[in-house]
Amino acid sequence: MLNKISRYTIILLIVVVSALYLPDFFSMLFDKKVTTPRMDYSVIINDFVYTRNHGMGQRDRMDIKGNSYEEREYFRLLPFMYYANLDKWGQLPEEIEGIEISSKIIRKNSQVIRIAPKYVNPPLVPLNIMFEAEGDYAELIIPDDVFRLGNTIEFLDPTSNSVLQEKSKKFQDAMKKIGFKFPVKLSAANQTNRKPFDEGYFIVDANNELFHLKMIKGEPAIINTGIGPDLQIRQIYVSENTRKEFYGFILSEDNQVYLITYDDYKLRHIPTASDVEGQSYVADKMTVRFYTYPVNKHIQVIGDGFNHMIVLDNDFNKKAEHTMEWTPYAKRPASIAKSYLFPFELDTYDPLQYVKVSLSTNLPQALVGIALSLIALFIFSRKRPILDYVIVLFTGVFGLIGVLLIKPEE
Amino acid sequence: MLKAILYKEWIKLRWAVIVIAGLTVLSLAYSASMINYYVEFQGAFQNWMYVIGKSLLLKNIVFVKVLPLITGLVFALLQFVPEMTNKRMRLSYHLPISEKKLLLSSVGIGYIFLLAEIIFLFFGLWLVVSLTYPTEIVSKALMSSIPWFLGGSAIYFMASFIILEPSWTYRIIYGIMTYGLITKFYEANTYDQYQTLWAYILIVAVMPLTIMFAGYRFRRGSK
Repeated sequence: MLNKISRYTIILLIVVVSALYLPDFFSMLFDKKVTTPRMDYSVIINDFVYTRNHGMGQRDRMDIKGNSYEEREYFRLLPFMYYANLDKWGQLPEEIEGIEISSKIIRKNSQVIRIAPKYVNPPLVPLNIMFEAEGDYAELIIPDDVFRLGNTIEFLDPTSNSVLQEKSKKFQDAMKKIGFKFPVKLSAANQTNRKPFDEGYFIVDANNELFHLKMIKGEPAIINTGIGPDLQIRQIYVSENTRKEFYGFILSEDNQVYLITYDDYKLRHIPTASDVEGQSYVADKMTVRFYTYPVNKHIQVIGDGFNHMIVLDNDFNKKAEHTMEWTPYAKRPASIAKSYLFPFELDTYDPLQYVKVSLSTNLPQALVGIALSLIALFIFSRKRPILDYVIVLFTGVFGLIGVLLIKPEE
Repeated sequence: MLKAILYKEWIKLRWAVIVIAGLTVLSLAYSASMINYYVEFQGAFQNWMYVIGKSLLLKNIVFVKVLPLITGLVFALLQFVPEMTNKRMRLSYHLPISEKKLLLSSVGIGYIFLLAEIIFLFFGLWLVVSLTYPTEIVSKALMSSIPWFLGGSAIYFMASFIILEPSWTYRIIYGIMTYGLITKFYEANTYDQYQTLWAYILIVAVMPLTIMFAGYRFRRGSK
């Protein structure tokens, strides 16, 4: 009896290993990668343009009407992207849509933010650094302490690995005074000194209210932004820019993106929805990019099989919209063949930067593979315990491999 | 009978247990001195930044990653290679104890020694890391080490199983399977990335069961 359990344990391990590796090997061998277009919006012709790589250095440059362009012509269509080259060639237009243009103006008035799945909830050590927001120097000075935000706020001295009581107390008192309720649910900042100035931290407190915390001349400066508690915040991205239009972004639990504007923390909703089903932004699977240029703003939602682009004017009115599609992975021949062959797949890859075992089933197509596996077992070796068939019934070709490799001992 | 088996396995493992314990102390000392070196070299604050942002600590505690793996493999080799040379295992099968009990208790006793080494390493790591870093980093480091300990346990069970298996064809099949499983415990590139640890624990927990099949095949002289 125990020998049988032992044999089926081995078969089970073989099933697990095959389900982890074989579907990936199959894709690696047979899947033909599709070339995805890179889409953009040209303010010169007021239309969408794109490039598509064909390998071996071949590249199509087209607009969506079907006209094709040479490299330099294409650069001229996208002055906000290729302004450095255009400036060098003396081909940068003097004004676009009534706005004066130069390299300097473009550089000053451009800003890019992107939210990819790997930034949604990354595995981070929950320790932070607080810059001096109004320091005496041109660049931001990196402090010499770190702080933790949790049940309280505590500054730590790395040299002695101990709490800086006085500074911690000062911040705790300031936060409690304004009505901040510990413990902290979420905090976000742009923790780099490669930025023009510092806007500190955006912190969600226990009541789901959003606070803005900075350090000015060594003193805490905390403001209740008035955002929340009805907005379910999933993540916040802070992005300081001299344009001072917005502090950053909020990604909500229901996959909506909002700008936190400098206008008294008023939120501005960014359109990321699409009329086509499955093409509205979902943070766990798709990437959203937000480009700000001197005359307009671009939003791109990129997922498996599509790139949905929305162009807004500077007052956030929708100007144009276009979707480019390509064959998503699930509709490619290799993937379809795979779903018939393998009843399920195990994966440890997680786009959110974790290692996570996930199981995906391929029913009902997989019934074909299961039936074939059962027939194969019947043909190749007939005298089998009934449990072998049951295993193959549930695990298809994975079970077949295990059952055929590990023969029963009488 | 169990006491006799315990004594027998202890005789096979005692030098390894002592040597590995020594190596554990040495590698913890190495980690501690590496951490100190980086703190001196980078300055405490900069070092913390590298540890938080660039996973520097994983590099400094690299022996915690490999030591359980080596220990598991060495214990399995020391316990079961002597049994398989000249088919000495046949003698054990004449003992007044069932073959299953015999195998499971041998593996169980070996695993207790391995677990003791792992626990020693775990607490050593705790001590070394908490000397320099705050609880946030300590807990991340400890959580990161759990898949490595599971990997060490997995290699012990699978290596014992492969050694006991009499046929080379099966050994190769099991070897490929083991490689596929073991690599899954070492996929992290930053702290505490494993989300579904229960699945990994479950896989390791069923592994000791495999050994009975090999023992049974050995007794039957299957090829």
